[in-house]
Amino acid sequence: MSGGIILDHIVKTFPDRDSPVHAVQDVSLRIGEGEIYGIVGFSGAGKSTLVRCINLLERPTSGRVLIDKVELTALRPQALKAERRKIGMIFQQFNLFATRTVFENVAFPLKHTGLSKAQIAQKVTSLLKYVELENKASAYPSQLSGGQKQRVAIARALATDPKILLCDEATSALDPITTSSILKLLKKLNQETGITIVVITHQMQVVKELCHKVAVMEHGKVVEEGDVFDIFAWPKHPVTRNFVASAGNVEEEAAAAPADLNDRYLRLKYIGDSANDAVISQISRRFDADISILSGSIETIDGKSLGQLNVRVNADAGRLTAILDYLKDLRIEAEVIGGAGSAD
Amino acid sequence: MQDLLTEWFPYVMKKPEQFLQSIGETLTMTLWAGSLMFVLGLILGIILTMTREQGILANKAVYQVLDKVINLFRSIPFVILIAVLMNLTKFIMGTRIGVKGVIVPLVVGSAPFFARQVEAALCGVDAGLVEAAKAMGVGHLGIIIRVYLREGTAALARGTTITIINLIGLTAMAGYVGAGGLGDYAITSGYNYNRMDIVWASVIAIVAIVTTVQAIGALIAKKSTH
Repeated sequence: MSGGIILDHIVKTFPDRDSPVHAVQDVSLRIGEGEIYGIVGFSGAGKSTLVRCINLLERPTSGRVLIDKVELTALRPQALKAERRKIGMIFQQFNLFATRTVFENVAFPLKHTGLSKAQIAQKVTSLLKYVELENKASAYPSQLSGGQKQRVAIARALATDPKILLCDEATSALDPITTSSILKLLKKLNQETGITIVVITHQMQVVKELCHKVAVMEHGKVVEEGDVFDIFAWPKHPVTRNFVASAGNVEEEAAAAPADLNDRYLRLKYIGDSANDAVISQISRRFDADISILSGSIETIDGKSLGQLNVRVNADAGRLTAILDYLKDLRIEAEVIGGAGSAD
Repeated sequence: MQDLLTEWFPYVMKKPEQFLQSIGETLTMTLWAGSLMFVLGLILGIILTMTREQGILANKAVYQVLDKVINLFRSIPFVILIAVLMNLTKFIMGTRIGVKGVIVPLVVGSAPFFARQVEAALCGVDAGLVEAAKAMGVGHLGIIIRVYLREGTAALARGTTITIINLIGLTAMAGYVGAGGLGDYAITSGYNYNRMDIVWASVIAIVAIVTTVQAIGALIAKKSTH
């Protein structure tokens, strides 16, 4: 890979009187040009620090940051300022200038760039049009809703025509509907301009709706990384499973101790149409087991569909093993998530 | 009107030019010392804010030294400060008496307080805005002018108002070095001769000046808040 973002063995330690805080511990990532890359983790996982290492708002304690082959960590302050103009950033709290109008906020990064007043005005107007706020140009941030503020912030971040957009919990302060509209805007932006987007979030919905690839962070380390679809379909690390487990109520039911000792709770996953209700009745007939469907869903993630079925099977240990083997032959992933006979 | 004033303020009206001159002296001292204090205090306040631990130019040594010096000057009573600075005043202004002689002590006496006001105002600017500007590739000077000073204007206006009102209070002691002013007029021409109308006239004039300063400050603060 030639361009894109390369994080090479990034370490960030904050000195502290008692014990230093190891915010990022040896993280290496490659983010390709034009990708939408998600970094998820619970708060304190180090994801915000990591994203600030990309534009050197936080200088890594050790490690290198390369953007389009330019090593940012080796640049002098003046050159770094120029590189930063190629990286836009938006924030959870929007960070708009309260004393400036929407127009002036978007024009802010264009000062001292050599553009004339007329060119700046034209640029700002077209950016505001793109984020559908051209009628709010003379409003102040305090007069806008959260979603509108974030749109202004996006327009401002795009003013210098960056090749990369960093989003630090950009939708975490917004309601679900506004979140969706911001995500659509970011997606459109990526498709139309090919801008690379790095998204920091703790909301799995954001990753699902927006990202192509995702890295999961815990305690300053990346514990799992890959295509979003794979991560959703086959999460490996416990933290990832935690994030993906949206159908958590099945676990709750399983944990609430089934009356029948032979009750097992299974989660079946399949891609596209490789399985459906017919499988359930087949298993039921073939293995003489009672199966009830508790919940099911088909989700579209990054353009591919992932089916998920949560079922309760009444079968003894021998028959359960046979059922699991049968499912494996059908390329359906089955996970025992609870019940009397389950190992965990 | 003339009769009424003569009836209420007999001694003031006997020599009205003396009253007007005192007002002029107070305004002159406030204006000169205030302008210099504003520039000096602003610079010191900016240095304090930028060099503190979370500042964009964090520098523990500079901050600590400046912090202590400011505290030192703030703790010296103004009357003593006039005496302490006598030689410095003579060196800078060429005289240690009159309006000229009191400007240096007034600036030194009020600038440290104003520096603290500036520090408080600038620290109130959201760190997120500074971070956003940094991310846009704005340099240190740009961040100070376009983010800190611009976004902190309302708080700066309020801090300036408080400091100038304090300064007007200090000018009342200018009589010690023969600089005149309303304070001197009230004591030496009024109080000492038990001519209370002169004391009251001085109070009214000072209240009018303070109210005007307050109103201007409030207007600027309001205009820069959206």
